Amino acid sequence: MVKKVSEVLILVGIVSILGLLGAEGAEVGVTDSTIKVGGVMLITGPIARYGTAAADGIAIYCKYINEMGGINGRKIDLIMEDDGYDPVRALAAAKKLIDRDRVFAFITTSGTPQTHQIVPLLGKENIPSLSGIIPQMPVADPPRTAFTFGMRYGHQMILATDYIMKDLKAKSPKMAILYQDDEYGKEVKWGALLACKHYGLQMVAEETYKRGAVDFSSQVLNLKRANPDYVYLATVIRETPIVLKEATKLGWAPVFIGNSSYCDESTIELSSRDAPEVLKKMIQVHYLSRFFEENPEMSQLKAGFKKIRPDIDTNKLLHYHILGWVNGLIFCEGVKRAGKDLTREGLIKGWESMSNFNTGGLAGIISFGPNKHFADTSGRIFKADLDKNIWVPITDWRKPSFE
Amino acid sequence: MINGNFKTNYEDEIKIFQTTFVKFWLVILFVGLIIFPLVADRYFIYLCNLCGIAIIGALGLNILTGYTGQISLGHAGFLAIGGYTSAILSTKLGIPFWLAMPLSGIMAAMAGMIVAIPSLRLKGLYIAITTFAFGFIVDHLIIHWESMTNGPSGITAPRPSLGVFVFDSDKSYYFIIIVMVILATGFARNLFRSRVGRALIAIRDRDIAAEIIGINLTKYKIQAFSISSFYAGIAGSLMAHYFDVITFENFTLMLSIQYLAMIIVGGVGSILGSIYGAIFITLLPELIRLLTDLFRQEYPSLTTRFADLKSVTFGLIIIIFLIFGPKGLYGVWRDIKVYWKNWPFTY
Repeated sequence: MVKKVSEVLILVGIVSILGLLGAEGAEVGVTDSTIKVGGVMLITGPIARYGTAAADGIAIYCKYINEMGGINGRKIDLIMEDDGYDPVRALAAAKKLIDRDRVFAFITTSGTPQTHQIVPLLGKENIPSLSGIIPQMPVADPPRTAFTFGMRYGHQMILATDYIMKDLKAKSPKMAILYQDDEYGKEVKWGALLACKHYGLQMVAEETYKRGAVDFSSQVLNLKRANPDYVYLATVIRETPIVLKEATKLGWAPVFIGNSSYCDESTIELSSRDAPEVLKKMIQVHYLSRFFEENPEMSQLKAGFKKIRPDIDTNKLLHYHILGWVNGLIFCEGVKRAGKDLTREGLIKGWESMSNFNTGGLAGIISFGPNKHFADTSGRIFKADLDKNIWVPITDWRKPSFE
Repeated sequence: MINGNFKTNYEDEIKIFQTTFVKFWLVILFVGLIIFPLVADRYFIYLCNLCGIAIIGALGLNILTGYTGQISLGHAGFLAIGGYTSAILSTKLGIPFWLAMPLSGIMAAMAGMIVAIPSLRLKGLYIAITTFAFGFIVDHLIIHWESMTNGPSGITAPRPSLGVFVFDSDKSYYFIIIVMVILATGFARNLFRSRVGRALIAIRDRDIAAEIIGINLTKYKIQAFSISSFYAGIAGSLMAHYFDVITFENFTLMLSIQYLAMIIVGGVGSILGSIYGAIFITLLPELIRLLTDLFRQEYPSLTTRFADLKSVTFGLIIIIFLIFGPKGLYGVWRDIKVYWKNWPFTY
């Protein structure tokens, strides 16, 4: 008798569990009127200035889309979590978003160490994610749910070398590199070495520094001693002006080659007074439009910013604001293409169908594909305009001559 | 009626579980710990696992800093050695987790002994700087010894398995961590009932006096370092197998400082204090996260605008504890207990 009762109980249990599963029906995080979207971002921590800007850009785009009536009748409910540039806290944020908030997809997965932790988990749970803060996927073997856009730092270095060799027609210049001792520095160095090998150039000096360093006198002195014509600079926001000033102090003015991780007006503000000569010669690579450029999407962006966050001066937008907006744009395009019957699988298919997607001039052409989850865009070369304190593009959008 | 915990002989004094009351609550706690993962969601279990790992690490640091008086700013370095040893042993040599974990503890303990050697001649601030430098050496090694550590890209350690069962969920890993926390706490509690533990306390209180009463400073300081780093190594190993990938970013100077904050906030030189501190510091940012979440609907930009609150709160709490509660959470808890025990009579 006892056995019978327990059998019945087990049966009832199984049936009720199945019932619960069945009740879910529609995709997690999607209702008829809303889509719950999660994001993890470095809003505090060492590069909070950029993280906050990107988070703002994404949030403003989502709000803008909501005010325009949403996507296929659904409004975006965005939940952005801070990780403080800590991979462990990023994972906590991701788990909270998945289990407590039950989000449909991830709009961003924060910086390199955080993406390292989050993306494999999202792969296991089959939750689609987009990432644009770092212009490459740091995970060696990313799951099929992970999408990334941007221009690899390595490719940016190749593009810069192309410019030096083809446009400036330099005669076997001597190259050198100063890089941060981490994943980012390694990536820049990879591209720089590849470009040197391709053009048969000599790398006369390689210097490194630890993240957070504030003194570069020995590195710059060593670089000067090797006397290169061009120096690839894999530094970040604070270090760049210090290096430029240090070179000026030593009376040395090579051409520094910058990349998108710090191609920001603050570099000019911080070094135009103490290192004008070096700054004028410097070239930068970037894959996004700048706030002063005129194009249809940019005016939409500015209108959106003015309406939703009037406290942000649209004449002082960081490129991370624009990056955030582009991130939102690509995310929402995928959702739109997934159609009225929105599923996670549909979103992945939606992104995969985005070949030659035009961002309206905010960035180069974005191309995903069924086996291509990293959309490598094109970039441009910039030079500093010290009177207006801005970086001005001096070339068209182009792709590196080889990869 | 006995209204107090009076001891009439030495054995009573050093008992681990002093009263039936304590035993009763420990049983309740134990049952609670078993039930918790069955009812909580994955986010809470993850936080609980983080707390567990932090408790083991904080216990280790408290043995060295709280009980022996040697300030360490290189605790993250020992965690890194433990984590990387475990990850390398299990990926490159295929050694199972159950063997790799103790080995990583031993590896970290050996590193701890090496760091201990200069500490025999250095005191106070100088030993802090030595351990600080040690953290950087480990960091540098991880980044540049690419053939072993995979450089900045990090290393992926497999989840532990027992026969066909793989501990791949937060829930199953929870039980490994809980067992380790119980073992670690039990060992630490016992350590300070023994000659070794008392010798360490004597060194902290006055090293010259300790030497006079026959304590071999060299031996015990090295022991303190090796035990402390062994704990850190175990915590590191648990981290390595828990996260999908570990990189040098998991073991920054900030982590060492967080561990120091744990023992300061929890209570320097107290086992229970290490536990309170570890839980408090780990959960604090998440608590603020959940608080801002409550107001998300009304003020959507709260996360962005008040995220900095976390860093401010973190600093503020340490300052407040240093000024108003130098004995830490454990001290506060004891004061409250004593107050209510004697209430309404102050003395």
